[in-house]
Amino acid sequence: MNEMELYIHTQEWVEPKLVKTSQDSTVKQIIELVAQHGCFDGKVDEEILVFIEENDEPIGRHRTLSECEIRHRHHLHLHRCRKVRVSVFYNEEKHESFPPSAKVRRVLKWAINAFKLTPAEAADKILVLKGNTDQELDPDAHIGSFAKPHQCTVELCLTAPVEING
Amino acid sequence: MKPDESLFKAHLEEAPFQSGADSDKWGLHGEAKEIVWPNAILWVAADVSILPGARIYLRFTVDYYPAAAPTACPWDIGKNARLEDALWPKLSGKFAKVFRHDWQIKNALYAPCDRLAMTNHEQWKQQFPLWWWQSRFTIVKYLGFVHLCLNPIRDGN
Repeated sequence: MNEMELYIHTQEWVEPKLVKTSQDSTVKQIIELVAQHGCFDGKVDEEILVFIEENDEPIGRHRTLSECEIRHRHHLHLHRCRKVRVSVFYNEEKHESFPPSAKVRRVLKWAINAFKLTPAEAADKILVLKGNTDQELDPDAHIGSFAKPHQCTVELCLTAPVEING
Repeated sequence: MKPDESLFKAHLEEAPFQSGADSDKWGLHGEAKEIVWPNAILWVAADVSILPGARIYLRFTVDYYPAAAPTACPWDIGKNARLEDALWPKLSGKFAKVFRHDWQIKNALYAPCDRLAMTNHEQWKQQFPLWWWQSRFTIVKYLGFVHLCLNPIRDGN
């Protein structure tokens, strides 16, 4: 009866994956389950942290999902970094730290404020990876998924596509 | 069931589509078993300042999916017909022409991930590598593009 599914985000899983579990599972068991699915090279260690989506602090690994008020189809992020330092380039460079579970949408809104864009300027802006501008960052993806392996940093460009025309 | 239909329906069950459906970004109109292949009607949420009804229905044609790009037409689900021109979203900015209906093809989005619009727009492949359809994409790429067009982030609040 207490079976449920969770959306899990990791560095390996930019697009979340649905994982079956139960409300009685502990956070540690979720880490083990995700490692069994191939993340973190299949290994569980003390560095792996679990965040509820958009929460700034990780949750204790001995608590159960129900104790943490994690419900069916909630989103979790598993990452080794407590914070990710995000650099955004747009004429100049600005930095801010976010939890790995922060949505790209939150980073985009921060960047719009940081670069003081007008609503008209902001309306068609997207974030892309610096050095891989062919990959648009899904606003609902988690910023931690784009951190470089074994680094707690992400480098992005704030950009606008050319007008669709022709 | 042919591979294209099987893959399309499988992608509707996977986390990227389900995650968007759970957060009311998009969804399937009706049930998967009601799809009359190769057409499926899906909806995408829209900012109410763009569409007072807060969503648009799109009738997709997805034969040979995902090797071939989908094509989609704004749809009136009440009349089960193409949405009248006057009811198509009116956008501004870089995506202003996505919902144009003044070009030769009247039943598709003017989008780099739309099969009909991609024809004769080879330059879009370089201009819009993010959205130029590739066989590794899923229907979520098309839905995400439409959602981006219809839900601009205008400020940091």
